[in-house]
Amino acid sequence: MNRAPTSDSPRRIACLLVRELPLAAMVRANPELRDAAFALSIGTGPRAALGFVSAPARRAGVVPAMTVAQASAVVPDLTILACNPALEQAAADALIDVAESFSPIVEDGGPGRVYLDLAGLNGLYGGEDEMSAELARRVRQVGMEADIGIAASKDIAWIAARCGGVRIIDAGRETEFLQWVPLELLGLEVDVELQLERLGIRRLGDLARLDVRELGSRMGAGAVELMRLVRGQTGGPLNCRRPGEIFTEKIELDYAIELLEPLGFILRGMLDRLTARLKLRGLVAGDLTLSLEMAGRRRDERRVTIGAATNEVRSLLALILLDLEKSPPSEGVEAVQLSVQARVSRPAQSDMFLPPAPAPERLQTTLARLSALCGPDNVGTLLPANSHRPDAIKRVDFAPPCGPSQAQDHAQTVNRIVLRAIRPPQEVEVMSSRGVPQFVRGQHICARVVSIAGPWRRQGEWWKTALESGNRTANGTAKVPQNGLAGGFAHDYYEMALDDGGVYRVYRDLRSDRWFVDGIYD
Amino acid sequence: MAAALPAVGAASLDALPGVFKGRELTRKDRRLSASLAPINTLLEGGIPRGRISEIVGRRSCGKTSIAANFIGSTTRRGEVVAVIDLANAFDPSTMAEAGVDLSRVLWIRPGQSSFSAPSFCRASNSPLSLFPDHGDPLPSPLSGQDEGESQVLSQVSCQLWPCRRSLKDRSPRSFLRAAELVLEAGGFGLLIMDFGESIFTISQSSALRLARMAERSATAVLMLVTRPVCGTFAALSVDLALTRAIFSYRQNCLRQGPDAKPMHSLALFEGLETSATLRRNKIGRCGTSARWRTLVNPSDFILIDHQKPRKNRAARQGSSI
Repeated sequence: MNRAPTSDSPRRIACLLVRELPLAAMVRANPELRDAAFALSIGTGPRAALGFVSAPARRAGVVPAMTVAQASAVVPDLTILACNPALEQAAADALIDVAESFSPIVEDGGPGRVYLDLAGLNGLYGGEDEMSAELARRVRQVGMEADIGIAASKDIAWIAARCGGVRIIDAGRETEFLQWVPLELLGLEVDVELQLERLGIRRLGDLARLDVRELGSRMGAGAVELMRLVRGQTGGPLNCRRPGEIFTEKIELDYAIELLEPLGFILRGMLDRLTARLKLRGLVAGDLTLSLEMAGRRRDERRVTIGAATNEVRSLLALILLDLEKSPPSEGVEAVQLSVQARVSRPAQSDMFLPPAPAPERLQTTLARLSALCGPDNVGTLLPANSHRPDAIKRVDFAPPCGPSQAQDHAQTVNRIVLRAIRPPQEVEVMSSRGVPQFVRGQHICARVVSIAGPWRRQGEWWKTALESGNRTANGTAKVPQNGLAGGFAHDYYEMALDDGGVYRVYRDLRSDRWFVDGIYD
Repeated sequence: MAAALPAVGAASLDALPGVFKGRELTRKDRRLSASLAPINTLLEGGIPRGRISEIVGRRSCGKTSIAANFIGSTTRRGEVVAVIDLANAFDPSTMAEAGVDLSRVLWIRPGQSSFSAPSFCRASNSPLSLFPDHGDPLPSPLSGQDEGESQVLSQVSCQLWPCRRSLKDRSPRSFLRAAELVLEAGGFGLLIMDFGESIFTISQSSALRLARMAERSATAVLMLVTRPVCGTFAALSVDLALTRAIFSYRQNCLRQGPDAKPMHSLALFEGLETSATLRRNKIGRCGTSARWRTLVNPSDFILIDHQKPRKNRAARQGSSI
């Protein structure tokens, strides 16, 4: 049945409810536990009590509040894990992300419970049946199962969700729905529930028939609030929260990990879950912050720069592993927290009347893959740096302009020469006669000088100290050359044609009186 | 809308750089031209799009300058270029002077540590390593998605010069993999693969794979090599040779005017003279040759003296400035 929107009920609230969030969070992080018999203990050791028990374990006879030893006696192959608050928080955040991907007005109702305003969304999804189906699909996308209730107020939507599955309460039929709802669905305190049971009240309809004043004088203000709820008189607005820009997943490990490879598997799972959340919101992953907690409460926090925002897990993981390999943690890792700075994907579109260019999304993915393959510092656009050094360069992220180029293309008859840089400059030995270089000998060059031009002196950065310029002695102190050039650089450049067929750019460092080749004209 | 359409005639559409008729997409002789007339004449219009072309030559033969010319003309047309720079030799200053719009050039330097290959060494000075002590290569967290990648790249044999590295070096692997990624992305007008002076062999299957990907993406692939590496899969192969390095010697005068006297000669490096032979051309005639000059400053070039001065003159130049 497709429920059409009605004009007299503009306010429709949906409640997403994940039952037993700790269990759902554990299954989300370990999908192989979905149909397994497992339980979560509060604390460690054989005397620790079980807090939550999965449905297969419950069917096998394990119940909450048993000790670990008792549960193991009942079901010998029962998997018992410790409660993980970090996973629960991540699961709760994922549920909020689902709601925010659906509606702009969302209230966090506590762990595993989210309210969202459905007003005005009928045009997008067609009806409340379609909306509930889509919400359920998105919750499954982030690795959980949720009960969904839709009603005119958030309390009734919550009660509807507590009934299980998907329950939509039509406008104006809230009282009719509440009549038969059993009292234990509200999750009241045990003594209140007992007191009401003594009065013979088992359903909300029975409670609604009582007098508010009499019940209030007997049971206090809490009972009055309960009566208002039962009579459908609650209707507070949603407390909206600002959509987050940083998405976080955290996991606490049972034992310290000392190898990069298992850490990679854990990071991969976290990235899978994070990118699923980002995709729901139409966002892509930007810079990452990886926080590793080690033994002795030591923390290793590092920022992994992502040149091109992407949701491709393989590339993101490769960049993190590159960073970890470069500077590995000093000790075993006991907890991992991964935060992602969300970015909006580039909304550019190619022009029909311009030459073809890479599609923006594919380009971003390609750049991320290239960064993972070659390292983030080795992919981008190379530009001359603002320096007097002829070999100074800087790398910036690749972002080609969208419009056509302004430069004109003219046919020429002579070509302009370019230099092939040698990085870092290669030291050579130059033999001179009367001050003129005659022979060059180095690791890969050994040839006579045929023609030579120069020297052309370049010097600068005199304001830098000798240490900043890398001119230091063996014990690390600043070394001031005899010629007084304390900092910066001073080079005499030559162009030399050697008899091996190459034309080289060679310079003599005036500070150290050594010779270097820093380029080949080609 | 109907009134605006006749104003865009066939002639004006032809003038737009990115607009071409549908049937031109299937033509195999679409060319990417340079801005240098002798090269365009030699190559019958330029290098073919969707094909692999090779420029073969030793150091200082002018192959990087020709590549810069192609990059410059491609970026000026508004297209995007990728340069895979194995030797880390890309010099942005002289490239910009040669007319390259650097903002449209994606520079990629392969050869750094990457996690695409399944084999890794143990990390030193750290308790964390990629493999445990028994060294059993368990499935990597990164494996399982690009199975074809390691297959193709394992066929690359690696011999690097001048930096002779061990076979564990992943530069050639990431070099070819980077080229594949660029071609997969599509939309690049030109892909430059600068091998530097390294001589590693591309296997036939890898070359075929690159050629197929270039054809699919309609990207012109230009390889700068010291010897042919693609064999039959290169549509075009040009041999370059340095004819001579041009140095000019000018008389330097301390005074200006009619009574000026030459004090000493000043040597200037003017550029290179290059000869080229079209050694292989699968879509046209081959065997033609051309000659041109590659100059430091084409606008100011005035050749005064081609002859090398006597030794004692050259000796004075060294301390002339």
